[in-house]
Amino acid sequence: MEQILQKISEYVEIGKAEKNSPYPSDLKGIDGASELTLQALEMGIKPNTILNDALLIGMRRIGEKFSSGKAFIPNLLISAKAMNAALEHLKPFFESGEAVFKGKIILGTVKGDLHDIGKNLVKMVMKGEGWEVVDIGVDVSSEKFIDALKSHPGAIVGLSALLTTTMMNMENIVHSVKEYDSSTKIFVGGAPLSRQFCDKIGADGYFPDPHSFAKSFHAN
Amino acid sequence: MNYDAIEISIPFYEITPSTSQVLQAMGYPPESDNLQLKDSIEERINEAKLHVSATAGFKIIAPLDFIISKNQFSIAGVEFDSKKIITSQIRKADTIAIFTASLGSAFDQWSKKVQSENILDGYIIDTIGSETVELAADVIEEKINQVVTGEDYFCSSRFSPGYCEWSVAEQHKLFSFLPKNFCGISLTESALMNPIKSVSGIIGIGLNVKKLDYHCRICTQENCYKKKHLV
Repeated sequence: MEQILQKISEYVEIGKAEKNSPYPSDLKGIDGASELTLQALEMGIKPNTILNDALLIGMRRIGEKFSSGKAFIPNLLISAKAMNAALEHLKPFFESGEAVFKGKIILGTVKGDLHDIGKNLVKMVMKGEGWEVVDIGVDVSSEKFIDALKSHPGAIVGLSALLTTTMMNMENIVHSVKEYDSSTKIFVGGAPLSRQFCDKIGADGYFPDPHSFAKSFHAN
Repeated sequence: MNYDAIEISIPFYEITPSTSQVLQAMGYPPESDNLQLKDSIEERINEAKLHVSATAGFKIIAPLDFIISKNQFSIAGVEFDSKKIITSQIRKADTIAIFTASLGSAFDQWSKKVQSENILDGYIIDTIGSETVELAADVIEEKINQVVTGEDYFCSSRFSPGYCEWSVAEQHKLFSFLPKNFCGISLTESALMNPIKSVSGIIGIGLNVKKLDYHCRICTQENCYKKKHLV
């Protein structure tokens, strides 16, 4: 059992998603994270064990490489793609409750801003980290964030902005969401932001990249 | 000197970024040999030529309309709070050129479509777009250089709203001196340029202007494009 879990984690780390994946070229035609996950389930390994002892281990390893400057955003995305291919097989178990998501996050780019690349990177990495992601798009108003919270009570909220002008809209959104439910955790990210700005607007955390955001939940 | 707004089309082959340039923009070291990414980047650069419709342009402000002081400059009485980093670099300018460059809306549409299907490819295209539009800005900067050199003037480096502590909100004032829809660019209320892969800015022009290095080390902007390229 340990051998297959180890292989799955290794393939998530290097981004070997499926048998047909053309990369890494030396593993062409060999079962990837997706096929191995299916085999692990057939062997009777519990979905939560596959998730925690294989898939998330692979994601954390690539995350550590990212933190130490040995891997970059594309590496995180390649690994997250492999992770998501494997997660497809665990979907029925998430639905039945046999496997559980780490949490739910509502993501949106704030009102006035149409940039979605940063938000989409966070989305991919958080999904790869075992989170359920609700993407409500770009140019999102306070009302839309609150509506999403009504539909997904208990979710955390992630706000993205790429401009110094639109990051000012974060403050209104943070205030409105906190007014709706003061216990909602709100996290912010985007090129012009800083920890000081996050503190000033009353958000609960600022992260400069998707991995540091995902990593902040590892201890929980 | 001609003070009319001038707009040109730039063929993609003149502004095609190299694969290693895109890799470096993603953070990879120059010696990186990531075959998977290299193949994908090459493929997407080849496709980009079908979606890039680059235009760039500039307008030189009449020297009589331009005034510069310690922390700001003004054009025809409209004040720009460009902050010290920029004014110190164009302090000796007799006037400025306002420039823009854009890859066109088809590139944005392509980028969005791919991003919704495959975020890795979307990220690659976004990075190709950022590098390409900066190369288009290089072309227009060179054109301005050629024009002013013929008149025995010199150019500063280029500076854009949103960088070097100059508020991006001032973009509205800057665009008010350009013809409407110049280079196909429009501004949103929040000063976002549409198409997204567009750049704008100013270049100082004068008899005693020098092109100096960007003052990245004293700037407080942590995640700046210029600072990233300096490292």
